[in-house]
Amino acid sequence: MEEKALLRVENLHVTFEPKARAVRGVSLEIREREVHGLVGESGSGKTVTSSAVMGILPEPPARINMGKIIFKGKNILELEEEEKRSIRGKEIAMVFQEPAKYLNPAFKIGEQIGEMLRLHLGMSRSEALERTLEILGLVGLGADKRILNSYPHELSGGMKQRAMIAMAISCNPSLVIADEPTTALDVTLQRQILKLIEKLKESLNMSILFISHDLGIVREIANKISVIYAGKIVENAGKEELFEKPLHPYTKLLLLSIPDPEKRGRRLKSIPGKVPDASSVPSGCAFHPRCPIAEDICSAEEPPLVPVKAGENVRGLHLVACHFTGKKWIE
Amino acid sequence: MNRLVEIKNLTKVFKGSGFLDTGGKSVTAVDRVSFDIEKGTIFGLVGESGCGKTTLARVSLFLEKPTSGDIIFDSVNLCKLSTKKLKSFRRRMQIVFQDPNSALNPKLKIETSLSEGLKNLRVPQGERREKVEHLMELVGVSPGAKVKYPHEFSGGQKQRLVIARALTMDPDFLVLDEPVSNLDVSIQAQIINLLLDLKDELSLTYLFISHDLNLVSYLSDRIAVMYLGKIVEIGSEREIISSPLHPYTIRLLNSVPGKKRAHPTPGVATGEQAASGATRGQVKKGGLPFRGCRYFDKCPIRSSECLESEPELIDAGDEHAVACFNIKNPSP
Repeated sequence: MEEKALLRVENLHVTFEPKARAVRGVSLEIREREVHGLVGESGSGKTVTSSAVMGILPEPPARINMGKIIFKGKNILELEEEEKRSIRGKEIAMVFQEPAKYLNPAFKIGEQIGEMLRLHLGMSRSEALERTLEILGLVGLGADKRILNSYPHELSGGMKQRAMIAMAISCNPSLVIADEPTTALDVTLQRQILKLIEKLKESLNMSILFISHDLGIVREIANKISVIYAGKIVENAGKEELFEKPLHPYTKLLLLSIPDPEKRGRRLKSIPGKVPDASSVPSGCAFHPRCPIAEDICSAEEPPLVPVKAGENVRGLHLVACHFTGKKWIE
Repeated sequence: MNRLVEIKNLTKVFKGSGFLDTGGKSVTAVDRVSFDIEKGTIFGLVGESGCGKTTLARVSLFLEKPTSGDIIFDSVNLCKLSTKKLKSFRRRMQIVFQDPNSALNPKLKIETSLSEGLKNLRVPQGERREKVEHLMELVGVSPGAKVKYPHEFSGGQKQRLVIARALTMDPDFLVLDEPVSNLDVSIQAQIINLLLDLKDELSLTYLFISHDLNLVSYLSDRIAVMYLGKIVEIGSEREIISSPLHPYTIRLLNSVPGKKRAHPTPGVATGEQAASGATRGQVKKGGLPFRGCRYFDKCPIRSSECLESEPELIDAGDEHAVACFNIKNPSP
């Protein structure tokens, strides 16, 4: 059952003044009802990519130099501000890592959700109130008036994140961008929020771009995964395929470096060096200074993100950007 | 085996001032906690934010005075020492914090930061320099970088330097409070490997505090699970991970992302557990006058007994202890 593409990012380039190349040609595709995990470390361009999609990049200093963001068949980079505004928040909504930072501390939760509904859907106050209660019920905040009349500071961390999610889904968006939505939460809460997101996705028919640095969490929730390194997607595949047969050295090492009780007594595989700064991205393949199999070509030429030849070992479309895809090098 | 650290009935109460929302109530951050750490081992302490892990770490290093209880370090009871005598023990126990950015003074060169402790001990300058350079080398930062300031290093390097600084005192015991939580995934393994190498090389003993069960079980010989200021389960890594008993430990294990290793909750037939309501999801702030078990609200196997009195740790065999009334056959 092939769903059609809801969002297609094509060769997106974003620079920050004066010379930081934060996103260097990101391409990704999110289909309807897909949960797409975007995994990368801090500074890899995850948030810049999603901010560009959402249309909330601070320009300047940021600048989109090249690329297209096609949402429902239209390139949103070419739309008028007015049209963009009708998409932002309504068709594409966002859930942030720190709900405390994005909820307005001076307004009650009910007012903040109600504002979205009145602004985007033109509801009246009483309609908005009714719908707000319904949404709060959906996210597990109980459809009672207590939460409605609470200020953000009166809620716990988990409840704030639920309120944030309520706000994001209030206008029935087709795409929700969740930027590290569980990173600031405790493990048991994390599990609850992930379950909630999964449940909402099913009942509301949304697609989700799920951004995280944590491969474990992405494994839990995504069906498709893109790995981003230094502003470029280095690997993209279905979840099982990626976890079972990672092909890019970065993905491989990242998976091997995760501590696990089964690795007790052995040293973890670690990736030498550090994450490159966006203002001094290495030439050629950005990963080459840290890569155990790099050769001369890797510092000279940037490998394109291309499909692995279909064979008995490849399930679905599996894209990798490496000159030595398929080379054996790790036990 | 000999014990390096013995914590006995340690309690820390923070007195409320009546300012803001404490209403003058006091908060029991650590409540009658006891455990031992054997020389040369890693003791893992797991719990969620607000459960008192960090307070326990600070109190067991005597950075804060315990309200009651004993801390026995290398057979000496620190609670009974004079401030002066205590000082000679302090150098043998050091701590590494979570955030290397706030642990290093941004205005001091690395060399100055790292030799501060030695200066206090009146170590001559030449020796100080030698030691700092040696330690920088040991943690994998080029000694030539000692004239730089903290902002010139990456997060991983800063954490290496913080570790080096802790080592300048030649400690026997290191408390590591979430030492890799602030680092990038690809850097975490580097620091963990470094800590393991240092432990072997310098025969150190670690108290490793983290919310990450995967990490703690990878590293630790023994593990204690803390909930609202109290240890609810303690045992060897094997016991805790493969046969957990306390419902909270089971819940933590089942929450580890990316794992499909479901432990059945004792007494519950289906996977649906009691804690599904939104308001139940958070760790309650301390300070409530507990009667009964503090996990009662969220517990899937609670009974009326749990409201009457608080369960204490009882032996479950194999040096495994659990604080719960409703575990079947806790004794071997």
